[in-house]
Amino acid sequence: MDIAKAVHKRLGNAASEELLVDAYVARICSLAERSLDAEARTLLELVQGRHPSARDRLREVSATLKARGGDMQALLELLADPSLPAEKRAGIETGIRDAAGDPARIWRCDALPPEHALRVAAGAVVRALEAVTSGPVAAELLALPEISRHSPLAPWKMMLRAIQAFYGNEDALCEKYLAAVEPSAAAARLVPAVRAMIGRKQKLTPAAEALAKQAGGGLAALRATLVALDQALDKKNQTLALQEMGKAVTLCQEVCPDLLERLKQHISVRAMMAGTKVDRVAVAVGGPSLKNAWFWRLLARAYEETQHDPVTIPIACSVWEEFRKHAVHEKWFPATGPEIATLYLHMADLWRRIPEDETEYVKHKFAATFRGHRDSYAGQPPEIRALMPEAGRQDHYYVHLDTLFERACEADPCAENFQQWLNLAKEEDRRRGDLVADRWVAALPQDIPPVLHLMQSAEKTNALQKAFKLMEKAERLDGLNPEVRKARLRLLISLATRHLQQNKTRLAEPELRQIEALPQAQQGDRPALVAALRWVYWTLWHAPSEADAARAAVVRVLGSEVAAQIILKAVADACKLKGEVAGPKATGAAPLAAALGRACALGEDTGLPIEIPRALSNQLKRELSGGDPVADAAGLGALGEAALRGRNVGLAYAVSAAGLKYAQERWAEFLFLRARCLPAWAEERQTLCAAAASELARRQRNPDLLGRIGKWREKELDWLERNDTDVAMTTQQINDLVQREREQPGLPAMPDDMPDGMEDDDVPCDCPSCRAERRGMPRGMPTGIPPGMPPVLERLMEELGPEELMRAMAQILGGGMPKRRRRRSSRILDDKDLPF
Amino acid sequence: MTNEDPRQVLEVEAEAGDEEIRAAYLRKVKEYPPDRSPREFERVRDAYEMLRDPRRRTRSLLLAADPKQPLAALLDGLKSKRQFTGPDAWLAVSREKKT
Repeated sequence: MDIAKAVHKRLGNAASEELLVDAYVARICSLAERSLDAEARTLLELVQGRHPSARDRLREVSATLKARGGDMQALLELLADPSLPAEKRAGIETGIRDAAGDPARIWRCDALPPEHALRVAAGAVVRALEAVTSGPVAAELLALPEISRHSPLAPWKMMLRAIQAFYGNEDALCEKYLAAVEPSAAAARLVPAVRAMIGRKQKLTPAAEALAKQAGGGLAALRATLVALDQALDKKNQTLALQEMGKAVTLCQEVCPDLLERLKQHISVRAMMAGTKVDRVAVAVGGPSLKNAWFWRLLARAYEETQHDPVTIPIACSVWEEFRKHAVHEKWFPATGPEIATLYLHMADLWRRIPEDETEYVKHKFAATFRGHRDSYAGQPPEIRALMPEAGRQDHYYVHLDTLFERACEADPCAENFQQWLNLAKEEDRRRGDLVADRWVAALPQDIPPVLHLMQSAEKTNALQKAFKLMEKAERLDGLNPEVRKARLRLLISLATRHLQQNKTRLAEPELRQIEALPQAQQGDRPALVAALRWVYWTLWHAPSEADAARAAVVRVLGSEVAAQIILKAVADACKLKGEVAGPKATGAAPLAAALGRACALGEDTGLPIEIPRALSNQLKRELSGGDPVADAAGLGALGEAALRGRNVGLAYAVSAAGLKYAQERWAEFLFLRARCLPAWAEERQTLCAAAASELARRQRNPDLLGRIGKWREKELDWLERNDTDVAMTTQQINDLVQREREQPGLPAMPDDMPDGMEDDDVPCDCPSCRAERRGMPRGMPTGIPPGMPPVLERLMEELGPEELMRAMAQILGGGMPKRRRRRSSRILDDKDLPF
Repeated sequence: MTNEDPRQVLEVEAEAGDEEIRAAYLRKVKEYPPDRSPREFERVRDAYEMLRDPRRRTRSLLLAADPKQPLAALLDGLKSKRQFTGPDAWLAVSREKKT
């Protein structure tokens, strides 16, 4: 505009005026496109006044603007001119298409002769619209050959067919026709209303809303009300929400009364989640919702989703218990069986969401605040009230994880359920684990895992004869089970070792013979261990030549003097044979890593603890950091574990470095080893290494390693970190991590800029081994027994441990429970929040 | 595996037992035979596999309730009776000025 004005000002001729008028026309069209019709009309009048010579040129623009206001006459007059150029005709027809909101106006317009194609087409549209909105019509009636596909009324043809499909309940076909309507055409203004009526979410004008309500049978109006209610609840606008609730219930009663009860249930639960006042909701929806199984399930899920406070977990369990009663009563499933067991296991899963150290606090809080669900039964029909919990006789069994598993196993005695129960019980207490295993054996006598558990439990308490009998029972059940096959060798070695410890060589003799006859004792390096036991045996008999022969056999099998010395020392220590074997020494010449790897792998295989002498550490580290692979992956792994057991973190770190460099197939193990070597302040690296190890173990389907990683994470990592690491890592992320770890050849040094409170000097290490060294004193407590402590308390501390004692003292003295690690919101949902 | 409720796929009620589930499955397989509608058949098959095992069936039953779902989702699949209104209500919408 500015350029055109400047040009016309300078030249002042006809051509420059034409250019300026063109610019004005473009400006007017632009205003019209933005629905600024009044502004467009004012500008048009101004231009017409200033440039009277351009009046003819402005006629089309003027007509289009009038048509937008509903006056088609001027536009149709232009179309009546037979000399109208094709280009202009096309422009005018587009204007008609976009403005023809009422085809009857075209049909009745005198500006066109009655036989004009556009008037004929408009007449056809008017008749068809009358027919299709008044009753069912045949498809042939909507063929409408009078309307060509280039006609400005072609979008109406598509819309008429869409309306016919809508009334014929052919929603997919209806959508197809709606998609064919030109979006800028006047007929397209009906599209959102029709879409809303076939169940799509649409924003509607008041007229469209009225149409949807009138023609759509009220469902669209109900949908719109529910959308508004959702929005009000999300915005926590209680007044509006209550209004919309009332509207929704009234509409639902009219439109689909079958849905009313369910709608009330969902509204009450949603309102509870949004914090709306319960009594006001009950009034708004015209009384309490039905408390059947459907309701209790929905409510329980709502409590599960309320994650800001762990006390909602026992409340969720209490609601699931109500669901159980009603679901059985309503015959959703039988009173016992896998379905009920699955419900109990689901409750148990919920408990696992609570960090272990908060469980007792949550139970305490629940017992203090929970008042039951009796209030929810007010105003319910008799069949629902029949299941109301009795006052003061409520069984809160669901707060005990052990009871949940017990009930699950009673309802559905299958191996999976017993295994879960056993895993929980043995973590708590060995004897409890044995009791669960006994229950498992009684329920499923052919299952081998409980027998193996009992055998291992007996082995741990040195009840070797009992363990041996259980092993024989396991052999009868499944002699090919690899665990069972390994157990016979291990138990025989334990029995022989015990007899050798007690110097009962005659009793050890048959056991040694049995070991030598076992085929599994001939596999791998195991003959070296058998020979080492024989060496102890002959030494105790004071038979030096036989002992020397046995010793030579150990060296021959292992192919290394150092490895043989390690094994002989370990066996001698296990048999409490004093003064016979000196520890191996670094020679500097013979390579150590491979030999020690073999010895450690043998020890791991047979359950013999191998100790790596500190004197060998430097040579081992030199070998491991050299340029070539020094031992096979299995040996390296065993070496790393032995180093970690002996708290030789530097050596374990060097082993993990070598493993990550040369043993790609065992990256999972070496990443886990690396995670355990790192100091506590390098928690980010620890977390990442453990996460990558876990991901690789999962891919390699290595449940044993996965279990070990899980236990370590639970013990050592902060629970928030554990959640982060549950996210699966991609192969690229793992490769990048391994690359970064490979570039860290030595243990990290503590950075100077470590934040306050992270230095080891300030905060004593809280890891299990350091705590054990400080006699189990928790963080913040002085080490050792405080001076002046009464002897009774001293005895209690020895018996219960300082943490338990602190907790008990805090309860007795009323000082509250020890400070919780995580700050929680103070708001706790109680039965006041229960919805109606 | 998607998160869709297998009961909705087979169009059975929450409390439906083994027989009802099997009948619904056979009905759906007839409706979507594997050679003509392989993807739909796959959905039906997955839903049936989920529901035929009582443990998985119960697990999905417990998790099927979604208290956070929009309330309007309750109307999904419902069809109300459509009313013939005559052309005026329709023309009132098409005559509206563009905004």
